[in-house]
Amino acid sequence: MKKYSIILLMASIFFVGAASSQVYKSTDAHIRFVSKTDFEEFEAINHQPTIAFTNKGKVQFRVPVNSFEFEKKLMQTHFQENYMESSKYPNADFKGSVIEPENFKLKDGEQEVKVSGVMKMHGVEKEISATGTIQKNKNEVVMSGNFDVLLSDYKIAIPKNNINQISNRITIHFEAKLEPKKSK
Amino acid sequence: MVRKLLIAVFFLNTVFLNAQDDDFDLLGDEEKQVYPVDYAFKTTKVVNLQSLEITDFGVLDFKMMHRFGSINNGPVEAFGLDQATVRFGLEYGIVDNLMISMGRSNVLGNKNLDAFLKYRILQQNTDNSIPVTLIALGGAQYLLGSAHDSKTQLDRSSFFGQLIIGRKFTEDLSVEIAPTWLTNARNPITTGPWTYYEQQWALGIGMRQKITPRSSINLEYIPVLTNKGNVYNSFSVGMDVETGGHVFQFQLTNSIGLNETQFISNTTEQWNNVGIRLGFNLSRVFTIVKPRL
Repeated sequence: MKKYSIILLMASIFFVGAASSQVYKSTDAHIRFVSKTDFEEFEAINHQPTIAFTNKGKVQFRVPVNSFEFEKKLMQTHFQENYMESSKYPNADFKGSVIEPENFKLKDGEQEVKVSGVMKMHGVEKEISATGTIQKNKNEVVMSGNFDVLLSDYKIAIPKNNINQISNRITIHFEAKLEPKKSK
Repeated sequence: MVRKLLIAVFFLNTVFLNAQDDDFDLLGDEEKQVYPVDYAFKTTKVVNLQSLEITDFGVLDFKMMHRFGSINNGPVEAFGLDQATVRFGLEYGIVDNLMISMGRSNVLGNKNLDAFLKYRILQQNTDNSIPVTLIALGGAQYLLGSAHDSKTQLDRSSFFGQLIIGRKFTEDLSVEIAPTWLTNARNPITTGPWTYYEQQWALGIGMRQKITPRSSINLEYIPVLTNKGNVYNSFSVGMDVETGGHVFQFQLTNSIGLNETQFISNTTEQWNNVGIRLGFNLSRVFTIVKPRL
């Protein structure tokens, strides 16, 4: 009987394993954000994010804040030191899943999706959603999209002096190439 | 009975393991990233002493330094406000980790040109495999004007070399020491047929403590190790205020000179009898070469 139970237990774990999903991981990913006011527009680019995605529509982003690059070095300094405090909060993270279409399954071709989840940035967690496209071509997955965040939601204050130069609403664009992650 | 229980375990197990899926982690533990530790000071100067910062490649920094006369000049001189010592300078990041600075200043009727190169050899990083930032700089000062008409070309030139070793201990506190060698054209020494210039060794000590994210208190003390008692050691208390593209530095100091050979080895006033002066430095940066993003 004991032997039988162990077989059953192992079988159950096997079934769980079989039901688990294929994970895709980014090989080339970029995030760009744009701040636009009536007076000034600027952007910064990050080439170092890692993004993972499953065929059932779970999404995870990890963005090292230190790797954002600006045209003006002084802006980069202020961004890291005063606004994002990147030595205290080195990463911005997002975890979420595809909510539209319902019961998402990754398939060949292009799919419009809506993703919803929690973003953690500057030590603050906040529910967000984003729209984008996912394109699967054989083994390669390409995803892109954009969403807006409000700096005030993440306790990032803009000093009075800079209120004309820096927008509270920041638009974030992302694009990534992903490949199936080999199981260990 | 036992069979039923096992079947229940079978399903529960499946359900339980699947339920964990809600709190998923697809990326796993992060590979520990190592970054250089930046922003140990708000600008390239503590007060007079050079700080651990260096002008980035392609960035031009316009520097203006201004010192009033010393407070103990008394009410007739408006406690020093009637006098002005000024240096205008430009700093530029030639490549990563190397900057050049050139300036024009006046001190007590002497007109000076000065220039130096500042190179960052090591930069402190986040995993402490490099625990300190190490900087080397060297430069020269040249006296213009009539106050030294009798002097030869070489008599007008002073040189200095300096190492700066420092560490950003916390987000707010940075400390540096700066062993310095310099020559002094004002004090030629003649022995037999040889004339050479007095050489001095000094040890600069500088620190900053942030008081808000955009301002800090800076302290600086530069004992001249080879001091024969004819000059005083430079001591300065300053405050940095950062506003957008500018950094303002306000200070009280007993030094009047505005380049290394002057403020280190030619400080002739002392704090003890209020031989101190009010001053400010202003820094404004411009991006000349835009990096490719």
